[in-house]
Amino acid sequence: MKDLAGERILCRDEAAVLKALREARRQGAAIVPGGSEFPSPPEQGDASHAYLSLAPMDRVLSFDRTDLTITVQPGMTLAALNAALVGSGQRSTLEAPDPETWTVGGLVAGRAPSFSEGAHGPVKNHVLGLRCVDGAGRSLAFGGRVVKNVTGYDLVRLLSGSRGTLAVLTEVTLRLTPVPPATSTWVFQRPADEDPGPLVARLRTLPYRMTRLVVVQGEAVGVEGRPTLIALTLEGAPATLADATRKLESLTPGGEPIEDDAARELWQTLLAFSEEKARHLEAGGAVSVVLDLARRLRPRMVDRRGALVIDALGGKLHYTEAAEESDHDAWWAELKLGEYLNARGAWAALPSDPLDAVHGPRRFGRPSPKELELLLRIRRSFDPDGILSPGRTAWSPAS
Amino acid sequence: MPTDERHILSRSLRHRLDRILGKGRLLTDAASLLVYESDALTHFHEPPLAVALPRTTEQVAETVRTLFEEKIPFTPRGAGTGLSGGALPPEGGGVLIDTCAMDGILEVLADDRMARVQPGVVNLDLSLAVKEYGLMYAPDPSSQMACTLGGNVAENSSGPHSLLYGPTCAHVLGATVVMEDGAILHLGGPHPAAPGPDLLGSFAGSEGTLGIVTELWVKLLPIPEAVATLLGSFADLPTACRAVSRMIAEGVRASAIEALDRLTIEAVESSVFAAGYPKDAGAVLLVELHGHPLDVEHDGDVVRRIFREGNALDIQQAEDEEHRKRLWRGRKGAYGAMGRVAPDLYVMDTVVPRSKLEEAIRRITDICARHGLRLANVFHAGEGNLHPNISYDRRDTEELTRVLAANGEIVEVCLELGGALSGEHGIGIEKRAYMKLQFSDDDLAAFEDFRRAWSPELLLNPGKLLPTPRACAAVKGRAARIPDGEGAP
Repeated sequence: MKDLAGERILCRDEAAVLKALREARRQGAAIVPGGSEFPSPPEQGDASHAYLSLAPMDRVLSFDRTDLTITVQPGMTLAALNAALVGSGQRSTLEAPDPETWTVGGLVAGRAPSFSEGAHGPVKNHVLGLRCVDGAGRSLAFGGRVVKNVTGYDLVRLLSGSRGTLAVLTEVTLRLTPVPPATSTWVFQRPADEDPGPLVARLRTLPYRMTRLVVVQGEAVGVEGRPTLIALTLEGAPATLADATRKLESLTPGGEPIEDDAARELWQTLLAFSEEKARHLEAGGAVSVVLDLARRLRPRMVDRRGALVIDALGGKLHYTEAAEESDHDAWWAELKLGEYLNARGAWAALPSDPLDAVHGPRRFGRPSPKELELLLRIRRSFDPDGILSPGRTAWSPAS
Repeated sequence: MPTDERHILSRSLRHRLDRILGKGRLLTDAASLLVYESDALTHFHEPPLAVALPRTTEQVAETVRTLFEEKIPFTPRGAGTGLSGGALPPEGGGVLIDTCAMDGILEVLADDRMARVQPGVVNLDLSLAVKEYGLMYAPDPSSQMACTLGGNVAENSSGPHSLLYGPTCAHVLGATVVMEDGAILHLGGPHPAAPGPDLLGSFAGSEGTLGIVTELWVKLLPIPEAVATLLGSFADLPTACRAVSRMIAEGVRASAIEALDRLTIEAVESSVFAAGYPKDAGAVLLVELHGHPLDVEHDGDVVRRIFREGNALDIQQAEDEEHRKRLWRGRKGAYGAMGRVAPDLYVMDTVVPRSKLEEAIRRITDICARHGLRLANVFHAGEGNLHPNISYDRRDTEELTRVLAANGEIVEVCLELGGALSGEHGIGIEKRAYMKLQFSDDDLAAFEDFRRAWSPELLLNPGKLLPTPRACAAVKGRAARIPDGEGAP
């Protein structure tokens, strides 16, 4: 095989992935897997790296309604997965800012914003099994197609979120959930200077099945007058949602249900905001901590025409400002955010930070050299020559 | 190490451990050690060199550091309720580190629905402690009155209600872990998962081979507003399994779907656990629904319709809390009731895709009939998690041989149907040889590499979870084969 540096390799099956990785290892070439597209334009990529696309691996391999699971190839887009399930009465609860481009493999190996994790759990909770090829050129299978499984180490969870630094996924089995009998999305508009905490606390104690609860402040959705928005989704039987409607109408003024299409558009807008625009801070913590952090950030947000999106079920916060801040260290130090988050056991990350590790050694995290040492040992066991996505994370150094 | 070589706990090492743990916290006398020779998989016995009873993270770390220096293997243990031999002391002698005395509920953040606990907290005690806040800890293994949260993490335990709520790993937010060399590692914390590979998630279910949990952050959930418990009785188990498949396909949001067969029903109804199950039924399904009262009513209607259309002989719904408890008493007491059938019970654990339940049951029944064994089934049908229970008499070595043979064949059938070796009991020592049937050599090598990344000296719970070259081990009172090495099917 020719020199892989700068090559774009389209893989149509696991054998092609295996061949590419074994050759990359032989050549000592760095290789970067991707779910859908190559870096575009090509010059954005590192000329010394080979890029591997799984886009042609986009098929459903197995789906049986009585199993409530589906096995797919990793290049299948989320939109295609959702389309495959239409009419089955079952769904995947995975979310992505752009379902047409995010692939199942990308969602599992990477990390997309989601507002339903508080109710449904993170993506890794939905991955029952996978096949992959690791940096050592081994074809591996972990987990399975069953919904309950404690056979061996749970390397499915290890590989979920590993950003292509340990292995390239070639097959994924997902847990599905039933489509609920009815769904209702509500939006509350509250004065911009009102603390959303008390209303959020009341909403969180409602006895309904709430799958999303998000607070939006500032410029996030471009609403005139910049009120605070509180949006929530409920699922359940039609009678339950009718009962919820009565309850929500009496709870507080400024709330109303919105149509399904409008709800879909709202959630997609907020997901896109959280993916693309939250360049300043992403944080995770107990719900009370992220709400408190939002209070702390609010004066600066107002001053800098920024925006906050708070997942009040999942305990996450996305913050951005109108202008790109060049000196993050200065304003983080000014607000003492590092100390604040550490004291409360929370984490923070810069979405644009190539390390994207929060407990790592760089910014906020509690010093954890032991954890990094462990991750490096694990990485070496999967990728002894460091060919997979070098430089992408703290545990996959470029050299 | 060679099989005939045993580690020795020298006097000076005993003194060092005594100093670390405090007076009376290191057990070394034969009478005290006797109860630690097995966990709940009582086929296997191995005397420990000593049992350490630490009370703090620092004591665990210092104990481990000392054993690491001396290259003495060690095994963490909770309440010893595990059913796969995961807490069996290391073969050739080792120290058990029993975390039961670390039983404090350190912090409850009721508004944030989290708690910080020590690993020795008994599972049910946490739910009882947070009940006053309207909260509960969802994972509920059948042994929840005795098993500890640390053990639950080690085994990634589930229970009847994991159908809705998921296994332990879905409820653990953070853990303090003492590593093989005594280093203390903090994974996760009181927050949602951070970016990066999930070390905590891959630690859960590692059966004490990667580290020892000394503190946990766990997720709490609101106690459901309403609970409905329904019982459907059927002519036979395959008919009941078909009803399960329909419930899954129709999207019933059940928190538990449990199945019991005729032999189990007979045993339960003849025991102190009598639950009012119809004695003429070939199988019963116990279905529980959690949620808003109107959701529960809606799903209850669907379940009743599926039962009716699935030729149920009888349908009951618990009328009050007392009735509900009675229906569950039969399920939870089923293993105890089986004591009426024979002196010993081999509780198997395997899992198949739910679409294969009916076929799996039929083939397992055939296997046991062929071996002349008494089979009872009580299992988590909603998750495809089978528990074929074989009643036998351990004094009859020929019968035990047939039990082990049937066990191997059942495992093979479940794997052939696309299943996995274990749904909830873990691999431990019981199923380690069968790992070769489910995984390729490369998969197993990856597991081994992962283990060595955590535990380079392999001092942590050696001989568990992964296949070893050993084929035999001593079973107290006689020689019996642990299915391993060349003995595996």
